[in-house]
Amino acid sequence: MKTCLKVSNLQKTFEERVLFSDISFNLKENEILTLIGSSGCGKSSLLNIISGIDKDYSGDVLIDSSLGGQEKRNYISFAQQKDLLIPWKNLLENAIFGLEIEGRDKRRSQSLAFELLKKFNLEGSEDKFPHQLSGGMRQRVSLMRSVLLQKPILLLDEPFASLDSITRENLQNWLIGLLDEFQFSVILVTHDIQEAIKISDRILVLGGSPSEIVDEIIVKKTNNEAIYRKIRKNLSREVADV
Amino acid sequence: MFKKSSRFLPPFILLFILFSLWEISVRLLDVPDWFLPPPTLIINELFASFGLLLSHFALTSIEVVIGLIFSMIIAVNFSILIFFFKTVEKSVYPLLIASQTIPVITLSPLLLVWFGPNILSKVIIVAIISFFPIIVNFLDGLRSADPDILKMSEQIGASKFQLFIKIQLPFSFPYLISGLKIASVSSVIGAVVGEWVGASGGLGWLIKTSSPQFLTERVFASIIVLSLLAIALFSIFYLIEKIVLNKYPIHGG
Repeated sequence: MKTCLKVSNLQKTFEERVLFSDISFNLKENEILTLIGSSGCGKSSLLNIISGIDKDYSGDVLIDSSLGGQEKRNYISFAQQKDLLIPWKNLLENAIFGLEIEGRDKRRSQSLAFELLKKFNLEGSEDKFPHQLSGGMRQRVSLMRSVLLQKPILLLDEPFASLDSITRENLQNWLIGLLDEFQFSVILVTHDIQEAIKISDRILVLGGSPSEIVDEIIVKKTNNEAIYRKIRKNLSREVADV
Repeated sequence: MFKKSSRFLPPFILLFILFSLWEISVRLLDVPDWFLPPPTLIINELFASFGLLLSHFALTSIEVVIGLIFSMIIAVNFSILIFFFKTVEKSVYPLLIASQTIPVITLSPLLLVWFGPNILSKVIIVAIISFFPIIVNFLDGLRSADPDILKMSEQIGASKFQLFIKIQLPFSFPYLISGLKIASVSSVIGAVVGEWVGASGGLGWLIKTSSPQFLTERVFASIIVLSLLAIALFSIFYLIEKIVLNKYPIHGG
């Protein structure tokens, strides 16, 4: 598979503390890559750098090798841990917010969103405001906003962390189907080992201080129970076992 | 329906009790009308001098409304300049806060000298007194936008102008309306101060000229009309706030 994103020698310092000093990895086309690590190891900071939100770092983030240096936002969409829905926009308006920013035709954007509503189990709620939606629905709208942007690389920062375990499991199953259908290249950040095993093709385990990649696991070629034990061994004790 | 009436009923009952006590006390103690007229005499004056009060009310209202609009336009534009340009903020904002230590009443004679005893001097006083609450609240509102939503929008590719129009401006709306509600009440005070210092009409002028004539019931009637003007202006902004926030739940409903 072709490499679509190359991260080389990333270093990030925050308030005089080195979060990570030499992180390098590749993301392949249509691959679901998970970064797993304990709280505070810098997983979210990594995504902030890759997405272009955080520009204060050293190292390189190159997209599709030859396209390096061009605007990251043209290739990357980012669904963050918080759903970040705009409170005064209804579900449909929130879903097409990214397209609105890109200056796309409103009617065309709305019809694109309408086509996806069923896939995201949001049919019939398009006029509801964020405060009228459940946590799971809000996360799906947030994901829909990212999916509608139709960027080849999708970054997911603990998208289901704030949800209860039943909703989380349902959404994980739903997400697997969705990612299969849309063929994104995905970087998922999580501290949930089961979630990582369930969704990913490959897992990078972050550990140590400053953080570094301590292990790389190809999921589909190995037994799940063995992977679980291997990750647990590599992670520090504070990793939540949910 | 019951809920709404139960909200307004307690203050009305309290007012009724206070006015009744007032009425009974002045009649029992035989207080002269020029010193403290009973409420019934004031109500009677409201009807008897309705035409006179209405003409002065119209003049004060015009001063207040023009001054408020004038103030709102300048304050909103100034807020935007301060919000976008640090240099403007550093130079203008401290002076603006310091200016609030000057009592507006002391500026009135100067404005009278510069602009004459016409409507313009009153409009300027109203604008000055309304300016501060609008600019301070609107600026706070512009800065209240959720930083994570701003970052998300930037990641998508929003320009500074898009961030302002689509995120920061809507987030600031409830703050702006709060500023306008405060300004609407103080603007009436501004107009009265202006009319007090030098004018040929308006409710402030009517109070000033009625007092030395011992027309105390007319002074009270004018005060009631002034209060009604302030309440009406406040209610307009309150209604706008309700309607807009009902349609666009900026604070999440």
